[in-house]
Amino acid sequence: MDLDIRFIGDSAMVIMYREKQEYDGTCVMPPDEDKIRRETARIGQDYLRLSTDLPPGITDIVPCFSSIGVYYNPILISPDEAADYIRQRLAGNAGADPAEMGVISVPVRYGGEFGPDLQKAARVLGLTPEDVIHEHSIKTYTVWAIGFLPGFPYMGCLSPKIVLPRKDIPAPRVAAGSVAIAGYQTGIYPYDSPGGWHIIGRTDVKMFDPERQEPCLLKPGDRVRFLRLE
Amino acid sequence: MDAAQIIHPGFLATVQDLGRFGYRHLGVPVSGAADLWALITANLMVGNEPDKAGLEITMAGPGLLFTKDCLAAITGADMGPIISGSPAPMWESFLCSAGEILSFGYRKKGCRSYLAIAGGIDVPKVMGSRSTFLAGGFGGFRGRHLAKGDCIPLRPDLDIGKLPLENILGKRYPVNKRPEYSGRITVRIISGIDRELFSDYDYRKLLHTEYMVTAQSNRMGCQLEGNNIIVSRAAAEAESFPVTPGSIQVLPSGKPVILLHDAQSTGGYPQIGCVISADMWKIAQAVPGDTIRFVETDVLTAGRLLEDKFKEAKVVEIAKETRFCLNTGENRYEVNIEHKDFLDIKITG
Repeated sequence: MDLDIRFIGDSAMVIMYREKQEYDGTCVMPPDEDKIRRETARIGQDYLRLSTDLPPGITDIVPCFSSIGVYYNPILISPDEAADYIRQRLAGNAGADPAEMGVISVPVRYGGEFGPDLQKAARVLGLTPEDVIHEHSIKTYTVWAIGFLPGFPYMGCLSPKIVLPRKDIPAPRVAAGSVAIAGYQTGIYPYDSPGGWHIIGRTDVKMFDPERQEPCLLKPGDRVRFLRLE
Repeated sequence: MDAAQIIHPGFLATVQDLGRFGYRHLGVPVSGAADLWALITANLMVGNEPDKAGLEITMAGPGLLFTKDCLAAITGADMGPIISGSPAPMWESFLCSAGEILSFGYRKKGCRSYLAIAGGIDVPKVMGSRSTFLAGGFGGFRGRHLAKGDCIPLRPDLDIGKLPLENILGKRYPVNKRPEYSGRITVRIISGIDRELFSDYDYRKLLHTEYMVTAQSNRMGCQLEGNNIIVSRAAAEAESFPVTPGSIQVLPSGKPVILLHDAQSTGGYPQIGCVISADMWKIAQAVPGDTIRFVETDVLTAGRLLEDKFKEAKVVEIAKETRFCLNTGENRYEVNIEHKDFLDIKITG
C-alpha cells in the first residue's frame, strides 16, 4: 500500500491515513465508531512498529486520530532517509483487528463546582444533567491520541446524544482534572489551562506527573471508563 | 554548588537547553532555547558542549550576584548587560568574579538574550532535558521562571581555576557573523500538510502580506496580524494533527500563528506552511510590532541552510584583547590580556 507521507517543515513528516476533513456543515466528526476503532488500531500498530528501537536521528513518533507524526533531526538524517525508515518499518502491514486492551477506571465527580458547564450543556442538548452524566459514564472510551497538553487524552466516541460543538470563546481557566466533552470526544485536562471544551466533572487522578516512572497515565489505544462518585 | 543568586528577576528568565526529545507522543513539547543558535554560540564561547543548559532571558533581564568565579558569555538580544558598573561584552567570554553583579536592562534589539556559564547550569534533567516547560510546570529551575532569591546551580566539580587557559580567555563570535535583529524579517517556509485546503489565491495571501507580531506572542506561539484574511476549507471541528515548532496554523479568524518551542505536539487548525529550522531564530528574536514576510522554499534547500547555520554558529575566534576583573579578598585587579605572539598580561590593582 502506498503511504501518504507529507513534510511538516524540514524536521518532521506526517503519515496521513485518510484525507483531512473538509467543512461539511455539521461541525462534528462522523460517528462511525467501528471505522474509527479499526483506524485507531491500525495507527496503534504502526505506531509500535515505528517507535520500537528508534534509530539515531528519529526523535519522536506521535500518533494522532488519522495520522502519525515522525520527527527527525535533519542534521543526522536526510528527509529521504526518514521517509525510507517509515516505508521499511511499515512494509507489509495491511491492518489488523483491534487488540483488546484492559479498561482503566477514572473516578469523576460530576456537576456543581466540579462541572461548571454541566447545567448549560444539558439545557442546550435538551436533556437533564442526570441524562448527560448517564450517557457519559455508561460507555467505555478509547484513547485516540495524547496531545494539547502533557497527558491530555482525546477519547471517543461519545454518545450522539451529548455531542456539542466547542465553546465559541474558550474559558480562560479550566481546573486540572476537569473532565470535558466536545464533538464526539471526551478528555481530561491534566493542568490548569485555558480550554474550549464543556466541563462536566472533575477527577483527582493525576493525568501527568514527570516524577513517575510512566509520567503519562494513559496512552493511545487504552480503554477508559468513568466511574461516577457521589 | 551555586554560581549566582538572582537579585531581581527581570521579565522572564528560564533555564533552557536544546530541547526535550522523545516525549511528544505524551503531549510533552520539545521546549528548549527559542533561538538555538544563540545558545549554542554562548556555550561554545565558554568552552561548553553546545547542548549545555543556559539562561534564556526575554525582553528585560535579571540581575545576578555571582557567588563564585565563573566564566560567562552573553549572546542574542542586546539588553545592555553591565558587570560591576561597566558594560559586559556580548558574543564573547568574560570572567565574573565572586561578588560581582551582572545585570541586564531592557532589550534594545531582538527579544531574547542567552547567558551561558562554563560547566552549564546544573538543574536536574526531567525526561532527558534541563529545559523549562512553563505551562507544564516542570524542567529547568523547579518548572518555573527565575525569581528573586533563586540560586543558579552549577556543576560542583567545575573549578574555573583548573580549566585550561585556552578555554577561559578571549573566545568570541566574529563580529561579521553576529545576527542583526532588524525588526523587519523575512523567513523561509515550506508549504504545509494542509496546502490543498487553501485556494491558490488564499495561499498567495500568506506570501504577499506583511504581517506584524502581536503582543499575544510567547514561547508557545507567535501570533500575527495582517491586512488579509486567509480562508481555508478545513472543518471547524477538525481533528488534531502533528505540529512542530515553526508550523504556521491559520486560526478561524483568518490570521496565522507560528508555533514555537513550547507549543503542543498536535494541533487542530489547518497548517498552511512551516518555517524552516534555519530561520526559527528570527521568529524567536521578533518582538511585538516587528514585521514578518514569508517566502517559499523546499525541504532540500532547508536542509542545506540548516547545515550552514550549524557551521556558522560554531565559529570561534580569539579576541586580540581580553579584559576582566579579579577579586581576591579585599583586592580587586583589572586584568588586561593582549594576544600577540605571546601572552602579554597586565595587572593593575
